[in-house]
Amino acid sequence: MNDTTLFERLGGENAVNAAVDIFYRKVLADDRVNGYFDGVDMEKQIQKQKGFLTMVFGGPNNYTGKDMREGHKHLVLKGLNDSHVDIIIEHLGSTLQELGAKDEDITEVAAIANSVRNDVLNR
Amino acid sequence: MSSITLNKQSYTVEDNDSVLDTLLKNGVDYPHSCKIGTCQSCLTKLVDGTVSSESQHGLKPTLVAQNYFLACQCNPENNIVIARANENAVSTPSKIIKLSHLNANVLCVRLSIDNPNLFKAGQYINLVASDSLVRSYSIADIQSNYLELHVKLIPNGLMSHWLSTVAKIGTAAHIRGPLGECFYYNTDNETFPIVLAGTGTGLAPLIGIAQDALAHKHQGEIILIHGGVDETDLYLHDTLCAIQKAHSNFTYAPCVLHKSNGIEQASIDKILIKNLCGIMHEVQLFICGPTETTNKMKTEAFLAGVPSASIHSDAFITLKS
Ligand SMILES: Cc1cc2nc3c(=O)[nH]c(=O)nc-3n(C[C@H](O)[C@H](O)[C@H](O)COP(=O)(O)OP(=O)(O)OC[C@H]3O[C@@H](n4cnc5c(N)ncnc54)[C@H](O)[C@@H]3O)c2cc1C
Ligand code: FES
Repeated sequence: MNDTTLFERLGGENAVNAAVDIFYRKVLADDRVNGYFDGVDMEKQIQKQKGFLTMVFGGPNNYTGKDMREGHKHLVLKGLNDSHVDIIIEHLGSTLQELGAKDEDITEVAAIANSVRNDVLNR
Repeated sequence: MSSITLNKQSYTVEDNDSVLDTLLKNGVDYPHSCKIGTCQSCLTKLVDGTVSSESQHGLKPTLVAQNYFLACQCNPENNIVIARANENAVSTPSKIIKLSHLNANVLCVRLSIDNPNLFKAGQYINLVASDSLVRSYSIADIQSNYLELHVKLIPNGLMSHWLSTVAKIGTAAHIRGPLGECFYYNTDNETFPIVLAGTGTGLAPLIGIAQDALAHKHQGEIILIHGGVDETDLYLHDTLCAIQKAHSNFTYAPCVLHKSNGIEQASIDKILIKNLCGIMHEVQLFICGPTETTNKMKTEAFLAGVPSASIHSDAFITLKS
């Protein structure tokens, strides 16, 4: 058990593909955060969310702290703050729960998401 | 600071300006439309220097191999020498063989082609009127010797003006492409339902895809929803009614915003969601047309439960002034 990675335990790329619609639908339906996704092309968003999920699932990704900062700068200017990051992490958790992930794994995903919080909020 | 050289003239790139911004600021009449890397009308050849791989994103490998890039997506970090796209290398010569009105503000444009197998109905081409005027149009119909486009005439639009006053039967033009992933695809002969929705000339790719599905004897249901402000916008009403009569699995669902006799008065996103009811998980959904309605319908269909991978769409992104 210990020699499998978080990404493998969650189901790898298939899990990302299964999770992306559920996750993004939750985000878009949530009035507390959906304003930050206004006017963004859906195909591009789905691609971006796949990249994000791959990262927080512990998979191979090319995200750098700099990308995170650049990518969210304009949203921070529009008021993006800790409460929004909390909501995203909450939706991540409930998405994984729906897909039958174990509690420990969900905690680990939340921890990875938390680790980029300062970059996302440009602090 | 880097510079751009075009036709022996050099221009200094300011701040974070793209190659396209720099040329336009200096008064160069350079082809462009969307400015976000979608339409490819700003296709440019790199003669000397280097450009980022992002500025080649979405280009066909043959264009990348010839050092083409998109001027609107390139922020040069060093001095570069560029040239306008060489139409002989990147496009097919064509002639206008038909120009007629489908209603007061929609033109039917037929362009001659030699090889119909290159194109799929629903994809889009770039119509090149001159070395500074290029616009994207979706393919409504493909016959052995021509492509058909439906063009909405925009007051003060450059291509609108060219098509309605300069172009005649026999006028030469070039066709670049095709581009895009919005077409009928069913290699395993499955019977999934197809729903197509769009307003205005968004109908062009949609009728192309629907006719292609019917030509392939698609067995599932096909529902085409066309929306307009009033009845005059439903520019293929009779044709679509006739297709419905001829094919038991084809339904034409028109809707308009203004009150009308016999045509449902409702916004198109409402009609779309109604028609998706019960088939969310099986449907292949095609949405095309003006950007705002297209994006709205995409989001609503997705939120209602249609998987993102089943939504195929081209938004008609236009020039930002
Ligand atoms: C992938 C793709 C596919 C497309 N397919 C089609 C198609 O099948 N049929 C079709 O008719 N168009 C289609 N378009 C739009 C087309 O490429 C042109 O943008 C449009 O025809 C206007 O060109 P123009 O040169 O006449 O006007 P421009 O000179 O580009 O624009 C002049 C001014 O009019 C404004 N404007 C442009 N369009 C509109 C509009 N609809 N309503 C109000 N103002 C507007 C512009 O913002 C600009 O300020 C497509 C675009 C894309 C990206
Ligand atoms: S791709 Fe550059 S203007 Fe559209």
